Amino acid sequence: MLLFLNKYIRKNEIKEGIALFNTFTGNTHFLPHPLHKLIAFLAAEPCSEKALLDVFLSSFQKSLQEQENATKQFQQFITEALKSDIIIEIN
Amino acid sequence: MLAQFTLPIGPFNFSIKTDNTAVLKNLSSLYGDYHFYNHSPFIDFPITITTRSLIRRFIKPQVDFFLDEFAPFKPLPKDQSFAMLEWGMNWCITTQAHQFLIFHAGTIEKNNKVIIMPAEQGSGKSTLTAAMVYSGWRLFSDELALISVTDELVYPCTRPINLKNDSINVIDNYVDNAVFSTIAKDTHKGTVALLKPPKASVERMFEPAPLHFIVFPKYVANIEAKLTPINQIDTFQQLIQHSFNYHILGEQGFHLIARLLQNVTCYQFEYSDFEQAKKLLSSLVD
Amino acid sequence: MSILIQVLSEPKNLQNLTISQWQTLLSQAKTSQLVGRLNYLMEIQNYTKPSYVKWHLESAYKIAEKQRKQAIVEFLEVPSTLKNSTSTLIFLKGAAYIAKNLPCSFGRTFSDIDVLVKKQELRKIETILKFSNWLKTNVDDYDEQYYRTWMHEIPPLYHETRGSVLDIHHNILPSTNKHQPSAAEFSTTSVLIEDIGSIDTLDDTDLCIHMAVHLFTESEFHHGLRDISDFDMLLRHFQKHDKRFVEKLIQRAQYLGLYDYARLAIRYSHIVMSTPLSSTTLESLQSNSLFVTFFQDFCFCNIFKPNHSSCRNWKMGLAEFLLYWRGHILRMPLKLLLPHLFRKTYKRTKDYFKQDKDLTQLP
Repeated sequence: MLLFLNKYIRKNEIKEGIALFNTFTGNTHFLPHPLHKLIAFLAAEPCSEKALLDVFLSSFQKSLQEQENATKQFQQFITEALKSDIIIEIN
Repeated sequence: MLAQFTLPIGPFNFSIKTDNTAVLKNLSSLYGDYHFYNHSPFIDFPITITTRSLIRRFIKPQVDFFLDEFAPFKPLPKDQSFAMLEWGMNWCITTQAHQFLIFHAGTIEKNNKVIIMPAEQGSGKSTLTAAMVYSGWRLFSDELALISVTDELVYPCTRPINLKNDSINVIDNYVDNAVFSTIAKDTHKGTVALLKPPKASVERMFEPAPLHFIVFPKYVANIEAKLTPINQIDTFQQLIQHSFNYHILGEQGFHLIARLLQNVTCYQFEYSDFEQAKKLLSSLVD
Repeated sequence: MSILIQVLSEPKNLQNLTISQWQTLLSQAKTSQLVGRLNYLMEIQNYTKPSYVKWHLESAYKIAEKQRKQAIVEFLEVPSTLKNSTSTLIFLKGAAYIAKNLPCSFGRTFSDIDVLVKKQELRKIETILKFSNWLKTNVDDYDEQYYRTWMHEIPPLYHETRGSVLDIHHNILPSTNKHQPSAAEFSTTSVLIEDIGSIDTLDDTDLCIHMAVHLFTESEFHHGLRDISDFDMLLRHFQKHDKRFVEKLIQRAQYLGLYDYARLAIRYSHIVMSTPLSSTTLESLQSNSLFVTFFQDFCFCNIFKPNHSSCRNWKMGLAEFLLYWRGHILRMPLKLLLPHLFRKTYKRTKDYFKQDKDLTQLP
């Protein structure tokens, strides 16, 4: 299963994160730092959830607490982003 | 008998036809500094305000607002006719002028720097706008911020300022020689009166200027005026909520707001006193 | 001929208009909801838009484009919502023009998305839609009953968050109409929509016939000119790809027992909008009765006009009156029509005096 950035998504970096516009639905979404990095990764190329998580975690401190928090943030992002059609899962 | 006036208001040419004496009287006092056309230019919004005929003329007389021959609203009591004209003019712009991204905001300018003040009804933005423009700031509008999708400048559509309930007295006391329209009671917004715009603002109604600040105003009793920086995500979200036509402009509106935010500083603004408010806002642009 | 009809029937006339002509044209076009279409016609020909009118044209077009996008979202959402509860879901009218990417769909403003479903599945469909955030619009009980029984649709539903409005029909014509081809007799076609998949709509001839039936059983013609302009654009487009299209359309209409509606549509599209037709076709479109021809010519030539003071006259008023009755009589038997019309008039009079209590419409 690979994650893709929805091709209808347009993005604009703003100071505290990234603004996303879905040209199909007309909806606007916002992602604060550091989640904007996930959009940049997926925009570059689709990848699996695991690979995306690994890349995301590598930008955090190695402490357990940091890693756990980051993973939680990541999971929340995946759930919300799939629900709002920002990202798509394809086999 | 219908009298007709044609005048430019910022980027738009309006023509106003009416048989209503209150409208005529208020037009001549509040629009006294405007340059009415002698010839017939292309009219963007042909407006007619007429008193309802037949039965209604005698039992609780009412007036109708027409854009060309279309009546977008239900009729209103005759004593609200001038207020209806102003509300109707706002409606014309917000539903049709999609060459602009339009926000519900007080819009003022000084030193070629525009501040837009997006806010809900009842937040005091019109009162604050009135105080500011009678203290040296240029009035663009107390209700509408028009940002061109082509050149990204803010365009004035200088018109009388809508004041409600207590604000009418507040501004009457604050501004020397304030000229008001007739007061309309029991409107859907309460008691309403319109304040004549400053002559200097009317004379510069064709001059756009760049946006520098987005300030979300809130009147809080007895507070010391303060500006609190607000993050761009919150600003963006609030701008969408305060916009009339973001949903129509779509992607174009999205990119426009993002580009504006690159060069604009955004604040929450709380105030209770006009002098403090003036000082603080002036410190942004001086 | 009004300036709006002049330019629609011959877009070359859009060039070199004076300010005064544009003023009248824009007024007529706004009244008729055709400003977006003017923009489209100018853009495909690359005509220069005068600076004073440019934003009017483009703003109307932006609104229409927004509606197009909304319709496409519903091409995805509605079939997906109803996939287990309906065997038939056919998009009609404006939604069909968009699905097929027809020239008349560009710059065209419309309010509702029309779909046709099977009558037996209607109840199930209503329930599913209700639980998917589709709400009833504000109609009173009587109107709801009228919609269900005598029209061929349930009252429109609107989506709570997306704002789209859905008109669900369960038959092509109202139950009382003399000619009753079942919806199943109409030919459907699948259209592939990019990134969405296939949706069903009527094929080209049946799309035109359905439009003709709808238009010529109307009792109120609030967007009559837009509709006949749509029909004109449909014919011109289909004829470009198939010179025998109109012939086939007539044959098909005869087969469905709906020839008279097709005849009226083609005839008045030609008379009002100057749709090019062969002389043999033209001759065949004449009615046998001189009186009927006179009556219909009077009514339809005067109703398909901008409803604006720049071109409105007493004839249009009379045509409205005659066609109002004609439309109702076609749809309802007289013994039901009279109480229905009485009730509508009573309600309108009541509302007129109640008006000052409802001021919530203002900005």
